[in-house]
Amino acid sequence: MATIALCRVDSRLIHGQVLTKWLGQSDANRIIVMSDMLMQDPFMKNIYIMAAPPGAEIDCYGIDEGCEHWKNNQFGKGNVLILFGDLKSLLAAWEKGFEIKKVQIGGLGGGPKRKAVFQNITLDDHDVEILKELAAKEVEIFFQTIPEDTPQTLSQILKKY
Amino acid sequence: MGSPKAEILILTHGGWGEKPIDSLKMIWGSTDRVSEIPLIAHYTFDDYFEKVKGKVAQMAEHSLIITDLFGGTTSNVSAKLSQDYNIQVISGLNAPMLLEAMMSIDTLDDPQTLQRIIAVSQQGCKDIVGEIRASLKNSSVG
Repeated sequence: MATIALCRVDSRLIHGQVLTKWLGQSDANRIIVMSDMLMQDPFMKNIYIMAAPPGAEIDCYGIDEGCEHWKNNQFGKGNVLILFGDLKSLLAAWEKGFEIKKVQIGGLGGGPKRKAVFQNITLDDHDVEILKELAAKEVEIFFQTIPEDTPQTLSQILKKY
Repeated sequence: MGSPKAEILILTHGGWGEKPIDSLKMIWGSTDRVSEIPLIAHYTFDDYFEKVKGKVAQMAEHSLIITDLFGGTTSNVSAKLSQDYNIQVISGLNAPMLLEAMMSIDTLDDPQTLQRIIAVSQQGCKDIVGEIRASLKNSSVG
């Protein structure tokens, strides 16, 4: 089975912060993106796969497919950085058996009804609901955009919402 | 003649691409056909995509986007736009790259131009002290 070096929710999926900071920081040699949206956009999927730095392997799965791989062999081998694009996808994966214990929230996108809670991370009511649901499943949730940030706990964040 | 003129669009994290354009003005003179759109930290992928698309939609065919970081959002957004627009995209912005691109702005439709811009930008990256030491060593042996 693979070791999960980091599980992160980041609406930008693979981008500068992830490649330059988190990949090295977490000592991961693989990235797995779990996103149904990306699977519907093969061109974008290829952009991400092309972006793989030397020595890192990138796999993109839909939620169902990713959970199958997890059930079968816990993603095989290596140190894996797992990326979800939004909280809904993370919760869906959790309910399909990907019972991750610790999750980093790095960015949830933007929009008019969203409130900034830490750095550039925003939340809406629906996100808060999902976060509470995950916390009730004893998932440790922390908010951190780059390694230099002091990680914020869910209860610290909810006070700002 | 009369065809629209190709442009150069620079995309960087935080907008540091503005500075090389200023420098270019000092060396080259006019930079009317060079512009930049900064990726600001709070932009989402879609925010930035729409902003860049607004500019790219008005640019002539074979215009060139130069991004700062391969794998970064600046590059990913450009790559996605290449699906719908006939543009060229290179990553790894540096001063030699931008100068060469500026000098080649009227031949961006020639595939060799892009290869030359990339070669020039790579040649501009050198271990200066290492090169000096190697050359001193060679001359003292000789």
